[in-house]
Amino acid sequence: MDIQEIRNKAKRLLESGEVKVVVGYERGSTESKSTPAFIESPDDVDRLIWDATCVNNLAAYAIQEAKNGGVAIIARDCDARSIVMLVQEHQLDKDAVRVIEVPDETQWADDPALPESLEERRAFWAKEFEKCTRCYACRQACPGCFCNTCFIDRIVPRWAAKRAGASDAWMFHVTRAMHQAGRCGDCRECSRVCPVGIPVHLLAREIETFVGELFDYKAGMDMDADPVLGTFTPEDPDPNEHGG
Amino acid sequence: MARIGVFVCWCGSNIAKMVDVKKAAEIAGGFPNVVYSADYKYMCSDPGQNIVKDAIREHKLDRVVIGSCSPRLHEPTFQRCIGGADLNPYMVEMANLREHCSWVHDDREKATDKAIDLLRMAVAKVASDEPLYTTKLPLTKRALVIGGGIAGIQAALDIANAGYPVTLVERTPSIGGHMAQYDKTFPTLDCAACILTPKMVDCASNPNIQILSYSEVEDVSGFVGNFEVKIRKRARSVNFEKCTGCGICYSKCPVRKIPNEFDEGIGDRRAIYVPFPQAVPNVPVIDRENCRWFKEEKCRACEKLCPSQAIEYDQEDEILTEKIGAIVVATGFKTWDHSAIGEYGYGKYKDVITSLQFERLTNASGPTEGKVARPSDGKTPETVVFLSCVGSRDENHGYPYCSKVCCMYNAKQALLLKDKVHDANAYVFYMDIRANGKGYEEFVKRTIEDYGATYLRGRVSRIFESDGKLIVRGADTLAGVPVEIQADMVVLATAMEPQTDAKEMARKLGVSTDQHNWFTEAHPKLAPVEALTAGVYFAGACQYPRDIPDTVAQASGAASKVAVLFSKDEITSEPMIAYIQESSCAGCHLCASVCPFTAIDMVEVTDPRTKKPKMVARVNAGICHGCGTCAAACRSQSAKLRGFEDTQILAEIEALAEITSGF
Repeated sequence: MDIQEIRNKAKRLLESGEVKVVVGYERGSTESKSTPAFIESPDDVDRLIWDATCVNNLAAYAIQEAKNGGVAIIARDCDARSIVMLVQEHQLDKDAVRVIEVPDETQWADDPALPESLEERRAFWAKEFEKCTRCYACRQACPGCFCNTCFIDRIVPRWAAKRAGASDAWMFHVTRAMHQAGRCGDCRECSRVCPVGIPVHLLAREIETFVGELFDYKAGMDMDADPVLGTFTPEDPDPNEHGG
Repeated sequence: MARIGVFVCWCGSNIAKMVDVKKAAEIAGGFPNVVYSADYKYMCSDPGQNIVKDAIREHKLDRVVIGSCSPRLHEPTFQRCIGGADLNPYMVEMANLREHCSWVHDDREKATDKAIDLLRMAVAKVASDEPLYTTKLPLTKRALVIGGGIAGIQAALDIANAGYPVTLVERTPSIGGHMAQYDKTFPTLDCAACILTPKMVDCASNPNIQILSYSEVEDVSGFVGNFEVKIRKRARSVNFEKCTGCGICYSKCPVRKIPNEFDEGIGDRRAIYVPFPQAVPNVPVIDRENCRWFKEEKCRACEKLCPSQAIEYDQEDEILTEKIGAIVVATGFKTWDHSAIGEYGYGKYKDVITSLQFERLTNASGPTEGKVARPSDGKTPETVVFLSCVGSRDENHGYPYCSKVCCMYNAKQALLLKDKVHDANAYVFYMDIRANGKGYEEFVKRTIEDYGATYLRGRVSRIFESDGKLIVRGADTLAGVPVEIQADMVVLATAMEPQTDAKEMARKLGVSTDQHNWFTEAHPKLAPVEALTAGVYFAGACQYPRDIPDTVAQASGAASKVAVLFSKDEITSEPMIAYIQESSCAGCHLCASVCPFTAIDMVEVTDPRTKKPKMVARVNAGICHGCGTCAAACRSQSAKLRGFEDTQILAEIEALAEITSGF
């Protein structure tokens, strides 16, 4: 996509007063990096860039920015799904957010293959979680993690010890993945930001597969739809018939 | 340090036969913070409760564990018990040693071990219990009764006579409901009008009852004691105060031949009408769809002829807002559309009618003035066949359930036919005769033996016309032979089903419906008139098929529930309900959307950290039932349930696992 097109759109939105800020990308500390840009003046739109270094999901910034007025977000398809989810969950006002759509040209790294058997999978994740330092970068980057107080930071009750350790990492990652059920747009920010390379996104993706099979629902597709886990119909499948 | 007492109940032999209660009590005596333990044959009995009270005083106990039956049964008993010994009533935990243990196991040793574990968990939980307090909420002492049939009329009269004002909303132009359509009523054959119309008049003249006919409930908000109800008062086009009910308007209205809903379509009415002569209120309405003025801007005959200038063509619907404390839902039933069974010739043969149409045919104030005349040619039928279970007990076409009243009105109608047309033949096809009410069995017997109705056990497979007769082809399964009857008229006992908009009404009221859309009571046996939503009660056939005696009894039951509620000046709310930790609430609405009682609203508060407004969830204490669904759903653990805090549940789990990480 032509960068000028993005800049023109941003300029129009700012000039018309439709939005107060455009969240996009600008050049980072080196040529190989980009960093989120918050453009508030039409004169600054030329700072915006769009190239292979632009990989962050910017949706998480929308919540704070939208509180000060309209916000436009440059978003790939998966990032737009995050925005839809945030509207569904009343974190964003539908009228306060504009999406500048960009094609998904991200060079996604290959996903590691998960073993078939449950024992091997358990061993796979045990090994991954050994590496976890519980820096919470995955949580901070995730648009779905907008809680004011994360369960893992609660002191009463304390769900995990302060120290890093595999069993406490299990508690954190599995619960966090469960908390994304029916909400994850598969932007893979969690894995991208992980400093030790844990493929965290595979947990939520697996859960989304179940949600799709059970409820015929895909996260972040319809702003007016009720969140899937917040609704019940008698036609909902009986979880006991699906391996509990 | 907590001082806990543990009391293990034998429940006669219910617990004691499978659990070594003495051993359990002894071991529980050694649990952390337990300073006293005892066992007794019936802990819920007076001497049993005294053991608890005495121990509280003697051993300075500050919390108590009762190992007995389900808290569902006796938690209130023991809450009152320890309250009587000056402890906060919520400082008691029940370990369910009966339903969860002795009743479901057959190995005494293992059951005893399990009982000890259950006691250990309860001790761990009670140690972290905190005193809870009830709160008082205001109460509006005005009832709303929705539906003006016999159920609504009875409920309204009873509540009004208890001294409380009632708003009775009826959507048709008159109260009376289905019962007003009936001829005689089984099993005593009182004429329905003779016993119903005086009650209708009582309603109208009772100063505590406000009748809003031709009106519908639009919206219900709020909670028990504090509902706000919007009622649409539809434009009658007739001034209520000026009209004297003289009837000139409808006797002179030129638009005739409109099928009268009240006569089930076999009689006619005009465009301005009262549904039946004994209508209450006796004020006509203009049917704007058929009125010549509204259709063609011609006529105005009623306006010209009305001696009291009561006709008002420009009336508009009004929306009234009423403050209401309790709601009785008495919206009744409708009859099933039997066109689903094509073999019975619906719409094809004029003389195949429904039982409700037959009521109008035999009713002295009906279109034939009580003369049994078949619709096709007005002749008196010689042979009439009555079919039971048309849509009832029929999973293929209709409903699996029994409509309960059809067996009895079949017998009544067969009897009335024989009474009015002495040499007529009455045939009744039935599956089983269900006559289980006072005097019911005797009544059916009288129809068969004294009046000579012929009962045939079996279904009818087809009805068709031949040589001016209706041929009813079926089977007599007792004799094992096919049967064919040449009939002049066939009467179908169509199933009772919920009102078409029952689901919509349930949504307005925040109550639930079953798979057929009948309203669901709070408990099928022990709370049969209460909805799960506090302050909402059911009366009559909106809940399930019912006959008149059962309907009246239930209506009086619902009315007494309202009177009990109104006998207090305030509402006491249960303390074991949900609450929201607003500081951490992110306002995602998940709790509000999963709440089955719509007890959670979103409100704007100032965030203490940012000083900016933010939306948070808030639990309405008047509506919350303490089910805990919100607490389970909340990701940030901002929704919590008093009496079931995470720390308390975790204490139980740790006790069970015998770990002491100290969450």
